[in-house]
Formats: sequence, C-alpha cells, structure tokens
Amino acid sequence: MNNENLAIMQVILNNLDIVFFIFLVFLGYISGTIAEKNHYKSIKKREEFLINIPIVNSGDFIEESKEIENIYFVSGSCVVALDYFKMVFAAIKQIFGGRIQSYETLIDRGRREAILRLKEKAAKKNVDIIINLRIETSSIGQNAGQKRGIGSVEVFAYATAISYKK
Amino acid sequence: MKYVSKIPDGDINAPETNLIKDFIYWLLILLFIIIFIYISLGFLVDIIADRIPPEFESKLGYNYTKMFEGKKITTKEKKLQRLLDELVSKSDLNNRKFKVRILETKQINALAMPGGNIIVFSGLFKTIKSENQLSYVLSHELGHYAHKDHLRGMGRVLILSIIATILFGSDTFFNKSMSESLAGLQLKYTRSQEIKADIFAVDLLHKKYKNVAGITDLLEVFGKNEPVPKSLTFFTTHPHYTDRIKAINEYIKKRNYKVLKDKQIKYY
Repeated sequence: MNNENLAIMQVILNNLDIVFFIFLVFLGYISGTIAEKNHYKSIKKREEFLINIPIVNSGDFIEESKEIENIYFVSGSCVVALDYFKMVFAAIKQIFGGRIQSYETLIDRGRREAILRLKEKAAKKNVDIIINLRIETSSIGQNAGQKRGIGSVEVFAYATAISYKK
Repeated sequence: MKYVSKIPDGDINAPETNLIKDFIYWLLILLFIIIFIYISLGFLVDIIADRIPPEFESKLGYNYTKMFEGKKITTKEKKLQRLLDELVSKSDLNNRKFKVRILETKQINALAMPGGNIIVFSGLFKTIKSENQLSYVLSHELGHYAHKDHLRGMGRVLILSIIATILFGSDTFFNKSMSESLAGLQLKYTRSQEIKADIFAVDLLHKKYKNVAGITDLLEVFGKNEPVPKSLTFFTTHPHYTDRIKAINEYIKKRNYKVLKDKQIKYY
C-alpha cells in the first residue's frame, strides 16, 4: 500500500463513526423499504381474503332476526421495528415539526397487521361479525420510556366476535 | 341492518411518499441552519476570546497544569523555560507569564494550553537540530497565544456540543456521534491560524537572532512524518506543510529577512 492509500485509510478510520452512521442509514433505508413493501403486499392480500368478516363499532349491526350462538373475545397483536433510516428521518423531522411519514407507515402497518391477526383468529371460530374493536399502542425496545426515539411499536387489537346459529 | 365491508380506496393513513427526497430536503435545511448558527456563534467566540482576562484563562488552564502536578522541573525544562522567557521578553506578550513543560511521548508536537502553559512533546527533540528551530517551535505557540487561537479553538468545540445538545438532547445517538465527529475537525487550529502563528514566529525569530534559518527545513521534516496527501487536508487537523512553507518563504522574501546557517548551539 502506498502512502496515499494509507492516508485515505487513516482518514476513514479517524471518521469511522460518521462512516458507520452513513452505512447504517443506507442499510436501514434499503432493508426497511424492502420489508415495508413486502409487508404491505401481504397485508393487502389478507385484507381482501378476510373482507367477509365485518368489523363494526356498534351493536346495531347485529342482525336481530338471527339467534346468537357464541360470543368470543378475540385479540391480535403485532410488533414492528423501526429501521435506522426511519429513526434518523424522525429525529430530523422532530426539530421542524409536521408529519413524520416514516412513523405513519410504521404505525399503519402495525395496526393493520394486528387487526388482521385478530380477524384470522376469529375466522378460525367461524364468526359472523366483530364488534367493539379497540386498539392499543405502546412502544417497546431499548428506547422505551424515553421521549425521543422508539425502538419498536407494539399494537394490540381486541374485540368481541359473534357467531350466529345456522 | 346488514353491514357490508369494503376495501377502502387508497391508503389515507400511510400515503406513498418519496421518503428519501424528503429526507435529503430536511437534512439540507438542518445542515444550513447548523452552519449558520455555527458561523454566527463562531464570530461570537472570536469576540469573547478577545475579552477573556488572563486570570480567568489561567483558571481554564488548571486542568492542563494538573497533569504536571508533583512532577519536578528537569534541567532540560529549565533551559527551555529560559529560552521561552527570552523570546517572550522580545515579543508583545512580555506582560504575561508563560510556562513550558515537557511531556514524555514519542509524538512530535507542541501545544498551547490555556493559561500560558506550553507543552512540548519530547519526540520533538529528535527532530530539532538547533536552538533556532526550537525557538521557532516555541514562538509558533506564542503566536497562538498572541492571536488567542487556543481560546477560539476551545470555544467552537464548546458551542458545537451545545448546539447538538439543544437540538437532539443530551443522551441521544445524534449528540454523541455528531458532536464528537464535528468537534474532531475543530480541535486543532485552522489553516490560516497556523500560518498566522508561523508568521508571528518568523518575526520573533528575526528579532532575536536577526536570522530565520531552519524553519522551513523543520516543517519539511514534520511534513515527512505525516504523509497526508494534499487532497485530504480538509480532514486532517493540521494544514498541509507545503502550504505553510510556501507562506513562510513568501513572507521572508517580502520582509527581506536573512536566512543564515542555523545557530548550532545545543541548548537542550
């Protein structure tokens, strides 16, 4: 190795934290985008598949002409992790204010996934309608409890499922 | 009433946006703001640095002098101190006190610490060939004091970490990685500060010896010890030596200073 290459190496090593930071942002963007695309693909497919089970937040939609056979408590939960790019994006956006798009998609994925899991559970029990859906969100992971930065988000959905007598 | 569920049209909650475009947009705005604050606070530091009284400065230097607490002053250091005192008496800094200590290390360097404490690394003595050159090193550090560079350097590092803390909080990854790496670029002096200190040293050497030989030779030796190509000087903490040598030679020519053979006195 000649002197110039050696010096370039030295500069890189001296600024290793910056290099590492850029690498993590880049890696986060690539892997995060791929994961998100695949997740949305799967979510949309399953949502269409489970469209027959309605979720309502009012008891008025229970068909009075039919007799209720079973009532279940159904739940679904899901944890989605942040990637490094989303975290840096949010950190910058928190200075200026406004929408944090990188978190919006994350929370949206979490909610829809949790509802889907709830529906999948309900579908196994052959329910006809799901009422009173509730969604809880909490942040978990190494940064939980801190004001800034979320490690990952947990979404928990629960509801009452009803099946009619056939 | 029968409820029929449908798939909603489009994703209102998570609209498809080009995140990378937004990211770069906001990052540039942030960088612009940081640079603006940095430059404007930099001016403030320059104003403050000129007004810091020497007594307060020596308080700042306390941490640095603690390093040598309890260590006896060697004869080498006494000789060095005598040389420094002579130089100070010939300069505009003769109303201030300066102390010099030697730090045992292989590194070739000398530092101007707050409070008039100069630290000479013992590795330097292997490179220096004459008293003239040693006087140049000391005068160069005195030049930093004359221009208050040592305080300016400190102030910018301080301001940088303050900015990072205000923006990102005290214990976030941003503060740690960003302030550390940014501060690394400012820990030593800028190109123009070094050249100004060089010129101060040339003037002082001329006053003392009527001769400014050996300076450029010494810088060339320093340059060989730090083989950093010119294209990368932005990242290094010291300006490229050829720049300094060029500036010194131009100045010597302009002032018509004599360059005689080095005064070959073994003072140390």
